[in-house]
Amino acid sequence: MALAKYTTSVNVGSAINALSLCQNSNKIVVAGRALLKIYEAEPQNQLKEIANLHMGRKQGLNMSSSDVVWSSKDENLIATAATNGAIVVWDLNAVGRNKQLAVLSDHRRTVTKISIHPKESTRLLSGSQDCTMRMFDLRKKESTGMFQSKADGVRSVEFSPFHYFMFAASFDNGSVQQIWDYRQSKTYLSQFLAHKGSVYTLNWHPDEDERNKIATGGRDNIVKVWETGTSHNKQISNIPTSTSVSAVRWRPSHKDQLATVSMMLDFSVNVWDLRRRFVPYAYFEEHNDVTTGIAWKQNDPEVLFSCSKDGTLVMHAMQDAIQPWKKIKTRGLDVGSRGLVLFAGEDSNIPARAQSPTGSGQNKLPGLFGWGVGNNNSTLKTHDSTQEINQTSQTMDEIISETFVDDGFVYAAKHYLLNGPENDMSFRKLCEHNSNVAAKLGEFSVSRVWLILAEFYNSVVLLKQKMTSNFFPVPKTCSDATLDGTKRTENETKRNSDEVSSPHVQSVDPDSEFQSDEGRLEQLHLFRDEDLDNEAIALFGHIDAPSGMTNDSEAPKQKIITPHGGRWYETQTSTQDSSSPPTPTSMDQNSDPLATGKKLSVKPSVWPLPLDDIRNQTTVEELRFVHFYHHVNVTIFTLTRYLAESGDVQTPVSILVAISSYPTNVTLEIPEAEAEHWFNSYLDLLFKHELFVQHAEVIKLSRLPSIRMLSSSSTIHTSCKVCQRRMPNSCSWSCDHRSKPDHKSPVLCFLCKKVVKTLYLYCQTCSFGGHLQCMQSWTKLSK
Amino acid sequence: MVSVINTVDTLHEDMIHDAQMDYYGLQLATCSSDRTIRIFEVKNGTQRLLSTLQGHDGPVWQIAWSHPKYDKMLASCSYDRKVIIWKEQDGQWNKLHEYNDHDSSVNSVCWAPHELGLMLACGSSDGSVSVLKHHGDNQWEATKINNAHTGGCNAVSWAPAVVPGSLIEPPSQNQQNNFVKKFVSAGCDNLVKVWCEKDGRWEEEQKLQAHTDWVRDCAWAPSIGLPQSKIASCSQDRRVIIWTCDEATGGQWSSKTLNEFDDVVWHVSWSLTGDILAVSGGNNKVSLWKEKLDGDWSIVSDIKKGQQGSTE
Repeated sequence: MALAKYTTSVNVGSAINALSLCQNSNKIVVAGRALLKIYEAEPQNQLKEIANLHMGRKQGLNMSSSDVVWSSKDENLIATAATNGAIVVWDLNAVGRNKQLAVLSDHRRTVTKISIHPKESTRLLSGSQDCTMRMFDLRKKESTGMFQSKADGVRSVEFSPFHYFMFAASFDNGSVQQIWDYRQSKTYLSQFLAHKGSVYTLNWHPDEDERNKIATGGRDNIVKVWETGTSHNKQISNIPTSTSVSAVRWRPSHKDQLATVSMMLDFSVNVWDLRRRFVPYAYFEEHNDVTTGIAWKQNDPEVLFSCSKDGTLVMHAMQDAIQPWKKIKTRGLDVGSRGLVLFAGEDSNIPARAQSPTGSGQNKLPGLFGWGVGNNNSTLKTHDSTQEINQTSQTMDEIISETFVDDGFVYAAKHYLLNGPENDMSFRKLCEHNSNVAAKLGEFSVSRVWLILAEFYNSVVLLKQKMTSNFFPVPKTCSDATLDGTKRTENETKRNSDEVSSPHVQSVDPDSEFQSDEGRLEQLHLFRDEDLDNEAIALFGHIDAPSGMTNDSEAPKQKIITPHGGRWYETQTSTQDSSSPPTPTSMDQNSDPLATGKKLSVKPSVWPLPLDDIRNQTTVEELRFVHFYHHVNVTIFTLTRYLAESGDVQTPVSILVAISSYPTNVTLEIPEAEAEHWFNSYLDLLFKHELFVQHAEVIKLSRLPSIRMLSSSSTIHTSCKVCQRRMPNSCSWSCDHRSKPDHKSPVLCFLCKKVVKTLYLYCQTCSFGGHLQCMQSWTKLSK
Repeated sequence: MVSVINTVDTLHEDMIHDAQMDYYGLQLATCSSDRTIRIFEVKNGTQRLLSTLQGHDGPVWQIAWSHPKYDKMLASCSYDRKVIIWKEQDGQWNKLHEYNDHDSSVNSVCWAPHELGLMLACGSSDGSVSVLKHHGDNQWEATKINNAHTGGCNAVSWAPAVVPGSLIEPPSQNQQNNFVKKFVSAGCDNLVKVWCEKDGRWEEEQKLQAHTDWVRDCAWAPSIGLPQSKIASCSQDRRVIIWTCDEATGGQWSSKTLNEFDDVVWHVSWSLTGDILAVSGGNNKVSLWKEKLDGDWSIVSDIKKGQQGSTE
């Protein structure tokens, strides 16, 4: 009768030492110190006590059972092994209360294990701590043979289910496992080293196809599987468990699965699969004390019985088992700092996902690991030195992704020029250079930002020049309008940006001397590129202005309009002189009053203008100029903030650094805390990419005291090379142990190997260093 | 666009569960069912095995590198219920600390952002999440959140320490050193939970519900202080969900399904800049995703390892 399969348990009243199933597996006998009960597994999924063979009265040590076994054929015959060496035979059919059939007291010490021959139900084999194994005939009720282990206490004996005359035994000294033919009592057929320490348990495979396989388990926490043969026995697999193994039982009709329990610490019943040796295939956690015995239901491998010192007998259903493989992640993934995607997975040779657990419910084996169908050893690579089967040869993939912005980040960080004066560049040149760098990377919006920046400050300078020379250029708004028109038809989403920025970039340019038609064409080209390369921008757009342009058109508009205000002021003045008509459609209200200026006479000075100087002037016009100037600053601030907001700290920081690299005391009105955030983020990114030079440069050029501090705040302690002890004072060259010769070793230059007496320059990352001159020449060389 | 540049034979005897690059991307750590952790040096497309770390009694599920500010440390978690913190000194890896207060397999470890000090979150199959805090001198204090996820916790990931929105609105002076102490966890109860430390205790701040099966992995996107927090989670239900929370709109999380894949999704991982999401799913496939302007997610590339094997 088929049992509904779910886990059920019963408390038998006292600690159980062993259990055994009758042949059709629906009756279970449990044995303990003063316990011998029989339970029946009922169809309703209950375990019902049907007999109690313990009489209640004291029956001496014969009743202290260490093992129990149900006869293979005779459903009424049970044998128990006692700790005092007695073997008690029970006849369940016996009339009366006392069902003891016989007491066999041949062993002098504890009988550890008994086994009944699978075919001859009256042939019983016992193993004992007295180093002998005995054969009994239960009909004669006497010992018919004795086997000397010649080794140590016997831990386990078991008849082979298919080799009629064969049994296996394992021993306390552990290292020996013997196979016997019981017809020859003089000596064993073969013997081999099995474990370090006691071999507590052994089990023949119950399937006929696997008849030569034995599993053993012992104190050394390892379950080993052996292929026995006439000539030699070899280990074919092992399972490293985490605790000592007290019992191991093959799962019927499963070639590679077995259940184990542990002698201590771990109370769970683990089911292992040899193809996945390191993590249990399933486990049960019903017991809260040491589990002492396990048995699979013979005709139903989905059911497992176990008994424990906690006094419970549990019938487990495999479907209720906890299956750790379900929680296993079989793939590893990481994204590295250099745009590397790292992926760890199974080797492609294995049809890993042939059957997914979610895809097909019928598969008992988890396809997850590439178990089951099609997974024969020929497709597996094995690192085969210890005869261990390795399921999968693992390989790692690293995958580089060119789409990663990080490459662009590194390129930009390396190629941006930040220090204008040092490179002997005007601010405009610097901006153009950086703009080109950004353009090369396809960062067209960033590229434009640099151009805008150049315009802003350049126009300030120019304004001064123009005013002194009394020349104002005519803005070329007409051509811009047409350009704008074509753009509009081309791409709706770009509309806002073009509307706003293209007139700006082109028409703002009052600098006709510098900005030729060619230059404008180039810019036009940039726009086109941008349109064509929408995709590219979407990919590269960690800093993307497009996101702002479409979603958030309000913000960029305002921001880019503001320069118009500034420019417009300029235009207006030019209108007065050269009567050129264009008026920007959208004008900044704030800048409007500026237009009322009648005469302009600003003292020419080199940009950037020191604010203080300006303030010292008292004329109205100059105050207006300050106003304008202030405006630009606000713009720069909104611009940089916008960029940072859209996820790019590189550009804002580069802009700030570039501006502040020029000798000026102009302060951009950016809250210090905010700028500090940008700097810190950017510095962290630089460091992650090992751009130490750029890292240092940014720190050096920064105006923020907190950032500048980074380069001067580190206290470095020198320590003795030998004992690692800190030098007593910063000037000394040897530690407290200076009397010892070893500790006197002076600091050597890594390059010329000579003593460094004065300045010691070293790399903060790898700590190599030496003479200043040496390091300098070395860095020059290695460049 | 994307190509496999390197394949490393790790010589692990069993399946690899995790691989992590260190901060600089110079060293690679792998962990495997064979109970070992291996450290490789990766240089110019070649790799060299530096060390093999042995100490776990079960498969090692996940590893995490510490920030270089705290020397070279590696945290590992295993089926053996242990979390081990390893430290390198002069090329030698040694066990620095062993934490074994979990009742079941520990599935995930994650170091907190370096601003918060040396702190480690561990998620376990026993349903709890513990946070280990270093107090100097190898003293580790453990705080345990019991029953964080019924049925077990599969993944933990820390939020960036930067206060959301700090880039736009700099925190006031007294807030300056007040970093965010939050992490996200994913579990077998199909939930993603956000935890937040209040007065030294961890409290559940949010319960994100949308997945219909075990959530396998979650990852909090790196941030430089934008007002939006982003979390990616992937699940057995074959979906990847992006959770976003805009501080401005009152801290409500909204979910958006990135994609429904045709197989279980195992891992999600953000790029350093937090704008590209790598997703690894069945069939040894890795795909990269990027948010489009309209807020939809589009696939950037698709990498498949082992074509012939997985076509069966």
